[in-house]
Amino acid sequence: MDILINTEILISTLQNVISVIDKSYSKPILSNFMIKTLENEGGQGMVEFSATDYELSIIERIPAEITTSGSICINAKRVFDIAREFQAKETRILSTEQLWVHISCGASELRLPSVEVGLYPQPNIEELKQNLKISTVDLAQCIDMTLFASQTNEARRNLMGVALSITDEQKTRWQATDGHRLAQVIQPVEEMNFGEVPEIILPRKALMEIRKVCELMGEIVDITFDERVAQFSGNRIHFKTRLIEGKFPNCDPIIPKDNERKSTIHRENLIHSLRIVSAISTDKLRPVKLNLQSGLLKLESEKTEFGEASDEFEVNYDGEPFEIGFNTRYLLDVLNVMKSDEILMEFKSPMSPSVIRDPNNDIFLSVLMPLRTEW
Amino acid sequence: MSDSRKIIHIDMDAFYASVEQLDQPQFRGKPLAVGGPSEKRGVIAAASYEARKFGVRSAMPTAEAFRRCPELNLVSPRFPRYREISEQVHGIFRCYTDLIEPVALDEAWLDVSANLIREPSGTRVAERIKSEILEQTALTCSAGVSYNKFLAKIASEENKPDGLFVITPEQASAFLKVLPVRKIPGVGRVTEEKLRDFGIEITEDLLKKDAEWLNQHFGKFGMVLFQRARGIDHRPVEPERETKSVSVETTFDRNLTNLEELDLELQNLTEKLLQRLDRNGICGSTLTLKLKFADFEQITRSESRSLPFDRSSLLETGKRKLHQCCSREYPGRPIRLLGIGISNFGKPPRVVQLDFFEDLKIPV
Repeated sequence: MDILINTEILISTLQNVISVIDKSYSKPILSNFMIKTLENEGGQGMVEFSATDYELSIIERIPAEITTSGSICINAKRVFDIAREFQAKETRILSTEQLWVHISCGASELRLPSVEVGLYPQPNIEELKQNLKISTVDLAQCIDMTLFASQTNEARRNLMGVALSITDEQKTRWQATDGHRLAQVIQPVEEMNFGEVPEIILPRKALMEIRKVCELMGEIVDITFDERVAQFSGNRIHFKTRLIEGKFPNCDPIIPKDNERKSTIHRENLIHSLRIVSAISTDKLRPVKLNLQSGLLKLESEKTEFGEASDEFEVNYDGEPFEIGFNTRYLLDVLNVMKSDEILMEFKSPMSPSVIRDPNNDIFLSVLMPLRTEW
Repeated sequence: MSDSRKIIHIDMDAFYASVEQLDQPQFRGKPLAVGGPSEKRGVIAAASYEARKFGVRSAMPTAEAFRRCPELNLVSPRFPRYREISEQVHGIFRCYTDLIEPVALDEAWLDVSANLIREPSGTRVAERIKSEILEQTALTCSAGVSYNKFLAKIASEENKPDGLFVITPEQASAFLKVLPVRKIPGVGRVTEEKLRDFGIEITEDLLKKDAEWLNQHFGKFGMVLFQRARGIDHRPVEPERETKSVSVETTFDRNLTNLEELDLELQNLTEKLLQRLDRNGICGSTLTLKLKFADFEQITRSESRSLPFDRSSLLETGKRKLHQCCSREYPGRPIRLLGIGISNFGKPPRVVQLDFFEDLKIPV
């Protein structure tokens, strides 16, 4: 193989590839990635970079000047650490039959050992029946507004991702929950066909990596899937991820329908107050009490060895006085992904779930379980 | 030794079910059970009196309950709500005495020998407590009044629901004579059968056996039987007794060696234990497995973790310990009794994050 690549594109591609590489190094072969030349497309030479950790794979196709076609498999981190320092405009990658790879950029010359290509579990893009097309902007928003609520530990594996399904109104539904909170986005999309797979659970890691490179995926992302895997393709980048096995819980019973105590609250005010009041918290649950009175929201911390804190500001509320405890981090997580000036909070009792939504846009909602506090 | 105490045992009537009927009026007057769904091999935690007419009982598999009563309404338990009401009821108790020993959310003993309203009659204190509970919570309870914990408990069962039953020292022996032995707390299925083999069915039959004979056949528990048959129970009412451990055990109809059968028994016991733990709203971080072999040799094996056990870790650890004992330490030895317990509860946290799936009982 002998190719010439624009150095800037090479670095950006390696950056995407490296994020998929298995960080645990439990299987040495997975610390490598592959480059292979593709058939010329309309006179434009293309090469394919790919990497996998078995769960998640990335395939990125970029233009290159191909002198000799072929493929190599080489340590990803080593190549990336070197290439990111390259200054010259173009980089040449040349492989020999003895598995040596020569990389040169400007006056820099490197000779690195590589691995037999046949040993690498080379990912491939499959033809899958089910698909949907979503604008990249919407996809980024769906991920941002749900992923934070997914479970990070292994206690309930089926919650370690975002469930994607279809509503009766033929919109996509994105849901994530860790048992303490639920986040849901109902998003109309350009085109979709869920066929025989009514619901898939997309793993956290895949969505995090996809989100990072969303901006490089063009205007529309094409998602194809079956009951085992999902593929996200946009522009020059393709991700393929294994799905989380199991069933996502039915979250309808979690979403309260009769929370009659409602308050419209300025989002930024609440964020600042929460940060102030939680600053002295020593409990890992960072408890905060919200106390609603006519036209006023008071926030109160637990008394700790570092002191005590309270804050209050005006809100829209005309119900009975009401008090409820929350984990500050959970409140901040949802407030930070919302963009509206105001939020609508709906309560029922100090022991039952509360709802947070955007008063002017009903695509998003979050449900939060309170803390039982004794202070 | 004479006993001149005044002890009240309060037992809320069909507590969980009554709370649900209170909160959800559509279930009033209808057969209702609180418990886990039958498709998850759930069991009934409480049944309303309407459901009991059909033979639905607590600890019965939900599937069996539906066989007995096809129009049964089933709801998932909401322990935080039950705790809330239990707390309210305890508030009423505290107006009368500080000597309160909670048994579970729905059950407590009160020593009102010297009470805060200086009422000499235990019966009148019980009447006032009953009416205040009804007034404040709209729930009924049954009260038993007597001179010790054992008789007070038996008395509270006498006139359920909404009952008040008194056993005076003069009435005790006549009352006890005809009491079936299975009503004595501590007499389970196996002890009951063993007693029956000796021709002992009611307490009067027990009176004919002396302490030595009972000790010989029932060990330490023989002494308890001897005392209870005579209406003796000197145990004090221990206020806010800290729960140190919760355990369940079962004696098998025949000795078991098959690991699969033992696994199944352990699983059933663990479910029972979890239910008991839920009832008290706690879980500890030490698990103890108890095995009694056919030759009555008994061993226990414990394991502690830094965090309290939850359902899956309890099931997993219990099974691992059982396999350790049965396959490695004592391979092939027939087992007559299996028990599992939880201890080391620590301080309950001041702040608890509620969970959709645990607290709203939504299947995950």
